[in-house]
Amino acid sequence: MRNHEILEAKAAGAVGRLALGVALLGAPLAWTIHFLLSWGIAEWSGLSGTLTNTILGVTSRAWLLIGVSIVAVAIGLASTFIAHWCVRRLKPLEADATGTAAWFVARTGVVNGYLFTFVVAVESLPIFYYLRDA
Amino acid sequence: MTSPPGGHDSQKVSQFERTWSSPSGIAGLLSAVNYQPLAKRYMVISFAFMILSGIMALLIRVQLAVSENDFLGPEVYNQLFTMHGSVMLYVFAVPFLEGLSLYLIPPMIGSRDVAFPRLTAFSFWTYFFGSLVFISSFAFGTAPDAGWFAYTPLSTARYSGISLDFWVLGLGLIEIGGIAAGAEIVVTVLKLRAPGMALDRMPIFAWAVLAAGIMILFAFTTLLTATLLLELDRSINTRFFDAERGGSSLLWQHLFWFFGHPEVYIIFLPAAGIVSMVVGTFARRIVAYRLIVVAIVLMAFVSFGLWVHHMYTTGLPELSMYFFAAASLMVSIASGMQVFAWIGSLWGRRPQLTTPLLYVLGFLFIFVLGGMTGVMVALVPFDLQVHDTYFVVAHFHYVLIGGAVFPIMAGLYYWMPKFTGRMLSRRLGTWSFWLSFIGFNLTFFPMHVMGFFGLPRRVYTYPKELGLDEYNLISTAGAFILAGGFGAFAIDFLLSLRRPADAPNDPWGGDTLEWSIGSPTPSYTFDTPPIVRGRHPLWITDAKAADGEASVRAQAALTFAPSNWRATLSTDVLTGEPQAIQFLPGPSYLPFIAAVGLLVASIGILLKAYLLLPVGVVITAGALLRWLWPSEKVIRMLRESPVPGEAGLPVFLTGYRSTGWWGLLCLITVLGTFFAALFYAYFYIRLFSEQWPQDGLPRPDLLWPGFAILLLIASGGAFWASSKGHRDAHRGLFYGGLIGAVLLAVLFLGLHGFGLTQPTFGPQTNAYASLYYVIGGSLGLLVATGLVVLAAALVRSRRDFEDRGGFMTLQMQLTSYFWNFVVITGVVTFAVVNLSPYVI
Repeated sequence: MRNHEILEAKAAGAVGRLALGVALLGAPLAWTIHFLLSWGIAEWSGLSGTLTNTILGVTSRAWLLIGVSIVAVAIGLASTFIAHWCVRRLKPLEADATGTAAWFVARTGVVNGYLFTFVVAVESLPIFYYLRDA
Repeated sequence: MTSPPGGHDSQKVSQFERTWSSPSGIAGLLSAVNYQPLAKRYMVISFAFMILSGIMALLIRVQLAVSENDFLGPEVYNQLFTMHGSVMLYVFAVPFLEGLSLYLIPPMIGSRDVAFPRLTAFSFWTYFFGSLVFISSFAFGTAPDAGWFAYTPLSTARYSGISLDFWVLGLGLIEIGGIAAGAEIVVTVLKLRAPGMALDRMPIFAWAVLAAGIMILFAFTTLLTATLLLELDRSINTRFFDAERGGSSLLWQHLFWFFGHPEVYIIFLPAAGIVSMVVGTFARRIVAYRLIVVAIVLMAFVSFGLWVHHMYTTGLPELSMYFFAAASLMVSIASGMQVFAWIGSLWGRRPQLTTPLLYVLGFLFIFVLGGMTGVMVALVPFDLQVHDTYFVVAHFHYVLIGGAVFPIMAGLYYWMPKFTGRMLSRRLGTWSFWLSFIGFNLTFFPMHVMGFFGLPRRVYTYPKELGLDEYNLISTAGAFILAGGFGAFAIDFLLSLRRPADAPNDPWGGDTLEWSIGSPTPSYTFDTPPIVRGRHPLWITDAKAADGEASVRAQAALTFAPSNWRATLSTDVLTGEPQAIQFLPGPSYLPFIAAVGLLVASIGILLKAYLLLPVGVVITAGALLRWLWPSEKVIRMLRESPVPGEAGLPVFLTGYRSTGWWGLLCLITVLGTFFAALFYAYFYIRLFSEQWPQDGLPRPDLLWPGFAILLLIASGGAFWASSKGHRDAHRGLFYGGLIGAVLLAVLFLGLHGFGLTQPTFGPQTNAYASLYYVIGGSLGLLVATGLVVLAAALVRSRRDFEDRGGFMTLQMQLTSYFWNFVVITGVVTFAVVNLSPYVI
């Protein structure tokens, strides 16, 4: 019978703890950055009246927020990709279905990644109702 | 789970049990650090406050039972609804759940105790003293009356008297206790799990309280910052919330609700964890474990992005309101995932309808209803109609009583054998549930309708013409039926204490480790550390992998051992592999004394006897210094003990493998959040100001503060050199760097303090001035604290310079991290306070 400690160490070593951390928390951190920047820009611009000039008919505030959202979605998808990579690397080690923490974190990271990226995308929708609004 | 066979030396066993026991009498009351008595005190005291708050609610309902009633006058009514909300949310909900977590987590994860036992004692005493300050306002006839959220300007000194000082100061102490307990739970769950309990084998309750504990570090610190600013406004006339002098009342609302919304998820998450445990046991499975973990993570993050939905009517920019509306809708995904997982777990099973499960079913019904109205009020146009009406009162009682109180009752019925060794009565439990469920719905469902018909919140009476008498009367009747439900529980509990403590270890057939030990849990929890082989340790009949060698060896070495000092195993955060023997301190008065110091300081502020403030600070600082100063006797004992050698594990670890590293991370998170809240206040007030600095005040100096910051950065460099010197066993570099760091820090403090005396304005001039002094003063205090830490390393090194890889290395590491944090905070503070007025 295989030794559980050895299995765990092998799995964690196969992908590295940094990759696992990014897999699990990368998309939530992307959400955090998106939320802080979006709210900060919207509040500051709305109260101070800045960023109201238009480019191609859309306010620069809206462009900035769209840019922030695109970057946040990209980070979310990138961390989801890293989670997928971890899963692929760990699959051969999971052949005997003992289940390791690394495998759990990687698979959880996949779900986390898609879900948080979806949340970022939904939270970006209000921007499109205020494209021209000064 | 394995236990080594064979008998044990009875003398060794007796010594082991004595090592873990607490003193009796007053000495035990004040010095106990075992998690069991402290957690029980938390639960009993907070539950008693809940009963008190419930009585307040009954008085409110009597007043509102009929229109134009004069049972209570408006002043007393305002005090009652303020204290009802405040006690329920600050003194009962979170403290009770923290107490429950502190009691259950060590046995559930296979640990003998929590990571920092004295910190738990400190958290209890500060909570207890804070609650006393809070509730004593009634005794002095001056209960707070500005609502549980104490909006400014109503809560400022202009409109509120000493009653609000009771609120602010009592709450401050309670929050400090809460933060300490939160940090305790986080580090314990991460580092003290039994060998084999990898992250994927953690009970869902552990995941839930881990998330809640991390949230507490951010949310409670923000509230603590806000209450500090409010008390400064009230005591010494700073202007943070004074609109006439450049401050902002909305700033209070932002800071408060940044705490206030996560607060309800800090309450809900552990309660949901209870539900997962109860459902898992009675359904004999919990489906979608991974999705529940994802839901917990989603809730923990997204709940911090919702707070503005409490402020839709304050005239904020539309776009920013809609960000929060979208987030408020998204967070319901997390609740939905968990609800469907629970339903899926129960589906097709035939669980016995025990009292805990009845309460869980009641929770599902009530919480889902409350969640649906939550999605409604998340929408801006809808909220604009129902804001400040009874619709909102109905919503939050559905989610809070449904989402927290019903799970708490389920948990009490479920785990009572573990607390007292006695089962509760099924008959009385069923009565308790049905009275609570029916009473609750009769009380709060009509409030949805009353809200639609326009009954506003926080009014002591209403006109007959509104036509709401019948609804209110039904609601009042329901409240008394609900009280009957709690009464039935109280009777059940008291009657149970008359029965012998002979409950079986595992009356429900549970799957987690707490059911493997005696009821009530022994003081040492586990005589033999368990090895975990799966997600349901007590249900596993055949393991898929053999136990690791390190785990088996550690388990053998720690069976009824060490006999003369307290220890548990410290394991890897991810894999659960044993890493160290974690030393745990025994009984100590220091946590009590440290809490007394905070109480003395608070009383000084309350009574405006400001001489007590430094007295209290000195008491607390002295107790903390003594507490954190490692005992030579202990270090020698740890070095000489044979147990680490037998276990093949060290006692001192360095880096992120040590519990001290995680404890420091929690502290840095709290301090960082404190400064972040101050910087937020700075920029928020800047945003509303036409001129910056306000009122034509001069822009801050750059030269001397810039030079001071360079000194601070240089001290960081000097300490880096000192650390290198220690690693390389180079005494000259070590001492040169360390003394240099200390001297440079002292110079910085001198220059910084001098700089604070130079401006021609005082902190009362306007909001900009208040911010300038408070942020500057806070940085000074932080550097002064760091200086003490540096000095401690210097003193320690005289004895232990040669100790590499042991305690001295750990101390240097932690000092390095803390000092780096101090330097970075100094640089950011300079950028915000001194540079930004020139840039934006």
